[in-house]
Amino acid sequence: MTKIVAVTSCITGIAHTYMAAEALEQAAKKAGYEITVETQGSAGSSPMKQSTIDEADVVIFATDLEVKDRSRFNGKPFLQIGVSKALADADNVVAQAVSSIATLPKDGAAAPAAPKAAPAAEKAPKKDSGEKPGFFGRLFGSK
Amino acid sequence: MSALTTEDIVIVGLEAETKEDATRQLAVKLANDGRVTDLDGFLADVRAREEQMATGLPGGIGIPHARSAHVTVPSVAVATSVDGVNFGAADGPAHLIFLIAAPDGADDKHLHILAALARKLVHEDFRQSLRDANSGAEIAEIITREVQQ
Repeated sequence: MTKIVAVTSCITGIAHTYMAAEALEQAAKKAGYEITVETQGSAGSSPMKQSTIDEADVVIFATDLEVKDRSRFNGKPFLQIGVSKALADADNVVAQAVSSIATLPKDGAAAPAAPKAAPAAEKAPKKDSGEKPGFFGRLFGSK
Repeated sequence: MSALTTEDIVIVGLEAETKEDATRQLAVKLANDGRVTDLDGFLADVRAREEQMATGLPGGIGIPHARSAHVTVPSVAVATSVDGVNFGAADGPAHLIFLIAAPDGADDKHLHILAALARKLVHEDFRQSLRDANSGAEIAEIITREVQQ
């Protein structure tokens, strides 16, 4: 069974983080995948086991803040999206992460500026209304 | 531990033209109930959050929220609106509005309850049960039962 791990976070850390986690869990379950989500919110974060990460086929970062202890995910193919996209479009996010494992950038790689197949996530319809990309986007080292 | 939501902080059939108006009406409920000490200060904190990114979400909900020094106890004020209020969601206006208020120094237990509520909001059957409720008491009862058990 395909295994996914995901991290969610949002600005305030009391709502979107948990809603996105629930949405991703529901979507993965529906699609028949195994998923473990780490919520990096203000209710405390329970880091997932390293073995869970190691066994995962793909990582979804649905994060509006910098991922904590990101080095744990080194070498894993990852899809980076904003938290509200995970909420608005969880089914497609999960489908896309799994279908594009081979072409996604690997975390920790020096230059994730990938060939044209990779940034499909960025091209997906931006429905998360009102999001201002600049401010928090700059926090992402690898973006 | 005091309840997250009581009938005193629920508005059934809210009438509001704007999200600011809707948020203020709910915040007044929180202030009248002693859960918010400084109405304008709290509204400023909510507005600051709302300006970073609109809090309208798919499924007809709006979740204005803030952690604020002006909040005494974790609270969720709830409104139902037949006409809906535009909270900036792509799929239309919010018919359920949750004003989520957390104290600045909220402890883990409180924040876990808010997290549990946030997870519930994703589920259409939960949202439907709130839309179908006829009274504030019923809405408060549903939230307490589903989140605080």
